[in-house]
Amino acid sequence: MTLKTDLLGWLLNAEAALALCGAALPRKAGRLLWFAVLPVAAAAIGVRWVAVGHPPMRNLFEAFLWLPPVLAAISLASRANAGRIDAALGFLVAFPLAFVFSAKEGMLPPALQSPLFVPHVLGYMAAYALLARAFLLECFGEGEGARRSAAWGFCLLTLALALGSIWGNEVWGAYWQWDPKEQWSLATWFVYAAFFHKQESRPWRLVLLGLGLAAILLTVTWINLSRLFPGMHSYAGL
Amino acid sequence: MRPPTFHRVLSSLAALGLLALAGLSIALAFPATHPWLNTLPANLLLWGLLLGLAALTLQALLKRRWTSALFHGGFALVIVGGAITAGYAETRDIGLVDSPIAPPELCQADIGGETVSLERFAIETYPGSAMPKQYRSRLRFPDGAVREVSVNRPLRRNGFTIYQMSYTRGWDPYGNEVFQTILTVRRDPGARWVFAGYGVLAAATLLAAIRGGRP
Repeated sequence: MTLKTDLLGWLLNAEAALALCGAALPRKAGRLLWFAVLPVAAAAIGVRWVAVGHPPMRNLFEAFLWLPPVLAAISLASRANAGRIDAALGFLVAFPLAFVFSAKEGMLPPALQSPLFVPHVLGYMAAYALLARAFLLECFGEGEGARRSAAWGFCLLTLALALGSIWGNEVWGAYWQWDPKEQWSLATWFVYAAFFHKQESRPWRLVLLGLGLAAILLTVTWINLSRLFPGMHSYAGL
Repeated sequence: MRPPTFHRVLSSLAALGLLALAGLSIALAFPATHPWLNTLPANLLLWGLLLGLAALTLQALLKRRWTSALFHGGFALVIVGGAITAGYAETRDIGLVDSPIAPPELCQADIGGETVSLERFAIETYPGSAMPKQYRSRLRFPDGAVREVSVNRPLRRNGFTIYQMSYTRGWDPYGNEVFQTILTVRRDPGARWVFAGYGVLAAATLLAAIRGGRP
């Protein structure tokens, strides 16, 4: 973990701080600070865009760059009174952006150089954020907001899975290879598919959204980083 | 208790099939048990799932629940495509040597009835590093066409797809460095069904999201 001290770094630190304050402070002050993430994030994307000379969408750091403003925009557009929940999620994605990921433009291996890289990864990131939001909203009794969030999250989850599969067919010569991450992503997809079949009962909604979130956390952390599951998605170092 | 109707029995079977598939995908996350997919239980599961999904699609159509019909129909298409792939896809790896003194049989391969020969293999590295940025093979076909294949840019011809997979390095008898390009040649008639299914699934989930996720 390092503190980034260039212009982009300070913009990212500001995003993390604003999101944290947005989550911690009540009512108007919190909402105002959380929505202030939008212009700061836009500036950060602009700075990065100028620095690298192409749309910043080529690696994990650059994909994450889009998440806090996407969340803030969802928060603005949403009818649910969930600003603090969104801000907390915003902090969760802004934190690694500011302090964990390296901003250095990495050397992408040939397999990752595809126009499908960003839609696949960004689609998953946004889907995971929306699905985590759905669980939190359901926990706080905002059932309607949770359902909308989960529906958009599931749509993105489906698109990202399909795009990944189509990409696999272009780069590895097969659209499905039972790679550990593929299987866990499929299992996650099934959990959310079950959610839409069990919507009438609140206990089921809570259990399935919680189970889905657990599957997401497993997929992005353990399956990715552990040596137990060597697979074609082992890009932990990037 | 009400006697189970035809639809309820089929729905329950489909639900069981889905749960079994979810369980299977989790079980498969533990080291390779892939050959299990070619066994009788896996086939029974596949057919159960397919028939269940078809019944659900039909049921949704009869009840005019279009989103549900699209979703289950799209899923069924993916399963059909998967079955076609499992039954009819062909995959073959070939290695072609890039050397002026190698015998022709090491530089040529038969792909879909054509003799394809390697013109040149090249690796592009990142500046100041040995890390490959891209590698590509130039292939010559009997009709005189010269086409290039590189990672993420496969070559499609006569129903076959040629992928740049990897390469190996070696030395010729005179001590010169020689590369062998590794290509995968594949014909997969199931892929288009699967991708059509993805399209339908994406449309169904988008429709559901626009309608606020209500059943």
